[in-house]
Amino acid sequence: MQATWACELPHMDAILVAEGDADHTTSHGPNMSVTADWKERGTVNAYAPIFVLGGIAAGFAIFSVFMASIIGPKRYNRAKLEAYECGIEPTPQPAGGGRFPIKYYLTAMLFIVFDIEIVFLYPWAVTFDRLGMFGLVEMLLFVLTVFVAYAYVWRRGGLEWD
Amino acid sequence: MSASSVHSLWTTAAPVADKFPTPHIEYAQLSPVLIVLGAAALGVLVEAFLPRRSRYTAQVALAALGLAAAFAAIVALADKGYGTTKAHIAAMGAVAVDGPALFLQGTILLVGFVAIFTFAERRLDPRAHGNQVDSFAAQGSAVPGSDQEKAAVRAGFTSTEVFPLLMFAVGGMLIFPAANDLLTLFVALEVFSLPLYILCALARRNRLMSQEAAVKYFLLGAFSSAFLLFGIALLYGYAGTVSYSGISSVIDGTAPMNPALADTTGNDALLLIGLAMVAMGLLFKVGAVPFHMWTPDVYQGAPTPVTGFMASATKVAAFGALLRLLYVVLPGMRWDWRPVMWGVAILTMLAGAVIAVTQTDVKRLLAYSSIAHAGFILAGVIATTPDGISSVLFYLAAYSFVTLGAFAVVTLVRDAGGEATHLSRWAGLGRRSPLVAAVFAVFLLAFAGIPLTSGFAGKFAVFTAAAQGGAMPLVIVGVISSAIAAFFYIRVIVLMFFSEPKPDGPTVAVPSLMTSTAIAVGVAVTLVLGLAPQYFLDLADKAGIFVR
Repeated sequence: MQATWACELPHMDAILVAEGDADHTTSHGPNMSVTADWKERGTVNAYAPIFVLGGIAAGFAIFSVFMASIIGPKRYNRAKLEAYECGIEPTPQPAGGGRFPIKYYLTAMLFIVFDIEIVFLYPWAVTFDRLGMFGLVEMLLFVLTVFVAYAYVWRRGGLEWD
Repeated sequence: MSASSVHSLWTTAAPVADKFPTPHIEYAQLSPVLIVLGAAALGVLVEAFLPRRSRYTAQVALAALGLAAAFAAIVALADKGYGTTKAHIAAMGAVAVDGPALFLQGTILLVGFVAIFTFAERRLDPRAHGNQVDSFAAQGSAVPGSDQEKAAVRAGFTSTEVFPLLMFAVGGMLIFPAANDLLTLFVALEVFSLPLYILCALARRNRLMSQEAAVKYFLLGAFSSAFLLFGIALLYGYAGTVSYSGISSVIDGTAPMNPALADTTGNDALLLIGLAMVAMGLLFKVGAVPFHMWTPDVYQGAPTPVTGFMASATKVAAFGALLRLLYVVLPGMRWDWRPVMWGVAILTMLAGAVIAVTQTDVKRLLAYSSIAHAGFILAGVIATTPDGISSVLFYLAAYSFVTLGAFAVVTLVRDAGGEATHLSRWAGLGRRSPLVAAVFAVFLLAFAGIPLTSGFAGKFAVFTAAAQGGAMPLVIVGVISSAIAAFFYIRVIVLMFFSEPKPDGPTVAVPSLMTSTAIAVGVAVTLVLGLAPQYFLDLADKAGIFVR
């Protein structure tokens, strides 16, 4: 987007200068007339950035995949070939199926719940005097709702590590 | 006719909302949403604190009561005139309370209410270790086929969490068609999508397929959410606001220019890309071609009660949001979006109908038929007239109950492996159990749009609106694809009634009162809306004005 804007603007200035009656260094009305001009140039030009953006996106995707397969180093080992190169082993499962530890996921999910709570509490704490009683009641309702999730996790044993 | 004068055909201007320091929420007008979400939170507490054996009863009662109370609140609001004369924008500009919102919310609540019955059905599967079982996995976290799963089944575990999940999904769906700014739209989308992803993964039978369906739905859904969100960012860049009326006034050129944003405000490229991306997100939820790829896999893999609920309620909510976006935000852009939507509608109708012909699984068949129906509804959306709105509202109400009923019938036809969804297994069903086959035939005829069913009334309304809105070619394509679709609906009917039953064919399970009620409601709505649609058409007509 920036690129299209940047290369369009000199062209605009050229039009303004060619029309003659405005010195483009002094007239800061031009900011408005640039916008107006943008609209007047009709729908065909307005669609052009879309195609340019689509072209760049497709080009980048094709270029990246293509170049990576040519110049990328290929030193495979067992860890590299796994779906994720970190954490627990996704496969194979123990014989006959079995469980894999979900403690990490559980911890991460709990973190999200409380993190979001803090994210909402913070702006309220900054302006709670302006929000008054309304803000207090709303925030208590919100904390209560989060507490429902907390109660569920607690009762279902989500807080026990083993 | 200028853009703003056309705009006032289907919107009424609301008084401007107050500014920041004195926030006020119209709790009474938001009560349907609050009741449903409150019941959902209570459901989570039930799950945490009640002993296991009493959870099922408590959850079913709580969910049914919550939805019934919310529906009563909708009726009360409509009775007070919030659908027509008192329509306005509540909650500081976040949620619209107007005719289309109340109509669609009422539909979603009724659909959810009937869906509870199919969720709660426990008679279809034979008892496992002396415990009645429903359609959902004993323990979602147990690996399919593992010893832990067997232990969970032996212990009689059931996933009663499905009821709070259903309630959360309904809550999000209630906000989705009423959302009056883009951020509320996005939050509502996530609130109803996330529970649906989980529900899809919880089938008791064919668990691997069910989990695969959920992962596919989740990945593609997350992808489409990202499109929607990026589109919202671009529209914000274009208009400097996320509120629907704010964006539409920038498009109309009636908004005062904010000098700080003069560089980007009014940049049509931002508007067009943003509009395309937001529309993509919504068309994905609707299941329109070319964003339909997830539909057959997810509909097939998900537990059938969930499929029925998802196929009907999600469509109602997503079309509601699409209508509001196109009619309230973007009427000034209709010469830009209409050609694209024409293409999408034509592709959706034809692809849905043609691909459905080759399907051999009844759930996949219904999935492709739902894609074709999304195309028919899009034809009404494109009309851009007040009739377009009311016909779409009517079609959604009619279609959702047919879908719910049809999927409820699918849960009944079973063999040793659970539901027998392969079409060849349905051969001769009409000889074995004429009643079930006849009921399914009614639903298929309604899908096909045969007169005296709700499908005909809906299609007639939508195509009339499209023709009057200047979309005659769409109507022609629509009628052609209806004819193609009628072929495979009738083929199923012929298969059920005019072929010899196989000796090892599936049996029809005798359902409890729950599923019977769900199917009976489906048949009743189909016939009432088909035989005497006028009252409901008038209702949709009265509800067809958006607030702006």
